[in-house]
Amino acid sequence: MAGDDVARAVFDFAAFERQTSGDAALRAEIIQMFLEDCPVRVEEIRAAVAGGNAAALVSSAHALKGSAAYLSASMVRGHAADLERLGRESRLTDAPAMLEQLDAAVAELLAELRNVHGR
Amino acid sequence: MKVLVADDDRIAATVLAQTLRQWEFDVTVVSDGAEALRHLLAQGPSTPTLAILDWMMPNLEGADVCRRVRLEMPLANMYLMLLTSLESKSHIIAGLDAGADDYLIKPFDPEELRARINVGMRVLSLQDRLAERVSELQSALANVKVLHGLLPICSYCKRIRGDDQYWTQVESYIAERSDAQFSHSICPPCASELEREIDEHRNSRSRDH
Repeated sequence: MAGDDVARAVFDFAAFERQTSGDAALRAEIIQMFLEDCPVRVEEIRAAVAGGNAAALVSSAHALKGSAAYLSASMVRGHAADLERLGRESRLTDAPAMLEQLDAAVAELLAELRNVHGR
Repeated sequence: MKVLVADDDRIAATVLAQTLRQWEFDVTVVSDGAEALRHLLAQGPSTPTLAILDWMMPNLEGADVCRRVRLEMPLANMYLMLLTSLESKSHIIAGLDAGADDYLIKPFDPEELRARINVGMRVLSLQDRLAERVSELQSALANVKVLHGLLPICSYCKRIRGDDQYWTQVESYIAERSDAQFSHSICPPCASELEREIDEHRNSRSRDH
């Protein structure tokens, strides 16, 4: 999946602008919501992975994947989708490594969003 | 136009609702399937005619909402769209089978959404016009007077016995039950018969005098 990762952008601002039909107030609102919700989702994923709860992993990774998609945050979206798939296939042994990648991508994305949001 | 957005992801719901509001739709947002169903089954002036429902929602999934709406209100003029992930192609078939009119892949593309909503509005207005036409035809049919069946008629005076058991003049019987009207005159055979009777009457009177 390394090839895919290269193609995944942390945050595609132009795509996010198109998604929100050029509405700056809406973009600010969405970024604010994501800054609040994303850490909660990631902790839910972490707890599901630690507890070996595949169903909880599917639902929390699915939720993060959906939100990240609306922000045009392909990298986080991709890692969340991978974790959701692991959950569906009950292959939780591979999940901790995937979670590490998600953590790194999330840290990068949140920094980028705070930067955009503060502008 | 009233639109219902049902999605438990507040980011998805906000983007969708705000996009629709930019297009001047009157949007209601709910975050679970059961609540969406309540809104759609309300049957009041504020009931939405178009709904965009996420597939995965707490309490009731989007496809189940479609199924229940179609089951409980088979004649309702309501356009239902499902939101589903790209990798859930099987959902599309199951969703359309459950009674959805269309689907959108998440995250929706604003231009595609606009185009698909236009399709929905076209279908809704066509169905509205058809429903109006049917109701016009039904009321026209109710006003058509019916005249058929076996009529008991007197062989001598030609009165007809109605359902109320009264004997009625044939003219008033038909006039009451159809749009026919009568103009009275005398036909040639009856006119010559009448002339003959009058002549006979005159002759008998002159003989008597």
